[in-house]
Amino acid sequence: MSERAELVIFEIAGRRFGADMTQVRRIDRLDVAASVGAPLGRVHEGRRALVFSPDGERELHLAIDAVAGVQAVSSDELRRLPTAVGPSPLVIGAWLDRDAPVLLIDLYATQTSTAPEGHHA
Amino acid sequence: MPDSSPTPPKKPKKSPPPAAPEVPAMVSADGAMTPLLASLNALSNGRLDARVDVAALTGEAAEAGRLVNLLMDRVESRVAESEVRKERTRVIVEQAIGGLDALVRQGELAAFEARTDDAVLSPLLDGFSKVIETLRTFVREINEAALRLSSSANEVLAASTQHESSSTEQAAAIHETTATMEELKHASAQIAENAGAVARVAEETLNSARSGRGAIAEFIQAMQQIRADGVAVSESITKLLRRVERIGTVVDVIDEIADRSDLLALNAALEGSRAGEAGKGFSIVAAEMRRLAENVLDSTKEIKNLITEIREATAAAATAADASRQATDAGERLGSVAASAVEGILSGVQETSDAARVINLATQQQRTATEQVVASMGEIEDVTRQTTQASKQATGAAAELTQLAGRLSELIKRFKAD
Amino acid sequence: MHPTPLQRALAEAPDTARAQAARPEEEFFIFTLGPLTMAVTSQHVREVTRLTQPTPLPRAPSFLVGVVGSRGQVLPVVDLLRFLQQGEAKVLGGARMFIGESSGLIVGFVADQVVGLRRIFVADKLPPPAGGLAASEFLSGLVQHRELGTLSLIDLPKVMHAARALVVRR
Repeated sequence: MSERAELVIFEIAGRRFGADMTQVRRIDRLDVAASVGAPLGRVHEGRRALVFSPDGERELHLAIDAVAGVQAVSSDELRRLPTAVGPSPLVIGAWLDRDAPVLLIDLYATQTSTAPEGHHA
Repeated sequence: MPDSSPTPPKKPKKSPPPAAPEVPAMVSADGAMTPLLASLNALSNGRLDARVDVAALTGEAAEAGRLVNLLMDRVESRVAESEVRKERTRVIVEQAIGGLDALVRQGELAAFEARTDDAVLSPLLDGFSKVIETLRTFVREINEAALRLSSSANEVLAASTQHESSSTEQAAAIHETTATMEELKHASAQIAENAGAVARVAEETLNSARSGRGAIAEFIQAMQQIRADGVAVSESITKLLRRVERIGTVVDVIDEIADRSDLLALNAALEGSRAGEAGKGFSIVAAEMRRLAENVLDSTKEIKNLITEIREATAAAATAADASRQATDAGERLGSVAASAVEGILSGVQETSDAARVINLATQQQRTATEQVVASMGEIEDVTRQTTQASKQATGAAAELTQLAGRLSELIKRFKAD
Repeated sequence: MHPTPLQRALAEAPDTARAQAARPEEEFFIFTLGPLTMAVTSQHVREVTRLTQPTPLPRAPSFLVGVVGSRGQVLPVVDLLRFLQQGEAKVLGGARMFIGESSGLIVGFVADQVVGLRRIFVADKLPPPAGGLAASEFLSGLVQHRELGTLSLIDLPKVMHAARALVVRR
């Protein structure tokens, strides 16, 4: 028997990401004051937010474009990131949706990673 | 005239003046009578102022002398009275003669004024006065009549002149009308000719329009045929497109297979390479597989290009077919419009032809009527000419009459009645 | 008509056995990327696949274009042009990915077209051009190939380890 987990699949700027369902308190309207910024890229619409609370008190908002659904996955479908990429606090792994990897995000790590995505050496 | 002397009781006699006939002087014998006799002698000789010298006489002779003197005084007074009366009558007669003279010389009737108490002259003067009065009345009346005549004659002359000029104008107008009618006659002839020409043209147009109607019907039929052909072409193009799409699908499959073959061969070559010398032949086969796959890919690329070309060509053909269909639709619409237009032309031309015939007929009738009018106008012109002639004569007569009235007026003016 | 494989094999057949031993040669995997034709030693190439759209990684260096799934494995994908600072690859349909493997590291590389495997005489290798070019560090040499033109010989294991070091350092 393999472990099973439930993912919240959401979209930011046309890309899919997955988050641990247990980290997501609810999906709400974006409260800009509570936003953790755009660590996964700038949203297009950005009216929705994943609401989470790392310390169980203060609620934080991650702006998203849309929620694609909830996906139950088994550990067989999950992969750690390749050694060439190395471990990252923000991206903890990937869910292989057939051959397309969906990056798995540790929501609690987003509050310290407010810098936007960057493509520079 | 007062007569101071007492009127003798004897009835006055119209006796000749008491001029005694010449008697020879008698001489009395005694001589006492001589002064008497001398005076009587003088008296008898007309010396009425001679008196008897009574003083020289005596007796009866003196008495006789005194009686003679008394008689002579009476005679003399009577003679003087008679002279006065004679003078007065002469004055009256002269007056009458002056009046008559004025009447005769100057036609003066008003000046005649004669009146007298003379019983002898009075009737005569009264008679004259009456005659003059009658003349005056005549003159007045003639004068008035002459004035009226003159005025009437003038009016007649004016009227006659007016008539003459009117008549002349009328003649001119009639002449003009006749000329106009002649022109009208020519014009109607022209119109008749033109109407005939119109009728002929209309007939030709009618024939052309009839053949046009046939041509349009053929055109519409051709358009329908083209449309049917176009629909068939469109269907063929659609079918062709469907087949081309199918070919495209097949080519995609072939492509996919070739691509997979390429990858398989590559990886097989890699496997062969890892197998060292043992895998070498395998690598060669794999290389050949890749080459074949590449050939297939080249071919499918060419086919794809062809398919693209066919797609473009068929799209162009479809567009053309669509345009053709629209054109034929437009053509059919135009054809039916043209057909109805030609129908309109046909009926219009038919009407025109009929109208032209009617005009032709009407103008012919009009020409006849005009000719009649021209003839009538000729007659009227003749009559008018005669009327003008008569007017001229009447004018002449009226002029003469006016002249005569004038002369009469002049003449009668010589008599001054007032 | 193309010669058959057998004919070609006959044409290339040596007169004597082991004649080739006199001239040592190496087998290279040759591909094109942008303006360059590159060659890597075939022993470090595990497989060639079609390149699927990589999933970009947040806060990754630009040469790391993302990760893809391949045979149930998540692989990082590297654009060699960006890595060697020679421009950038345009990932179009029909592009290939070859999977490099070196001492436990498995990395996908973008290739426009795969030419195939070629044996190249070691003696034909020319040293990389002198100069402080960033790329020359990863060039093991140049080869003037009569058929394929200038080939840039890439030291793939060195690239893979340097890339990993760059990623992990972040």
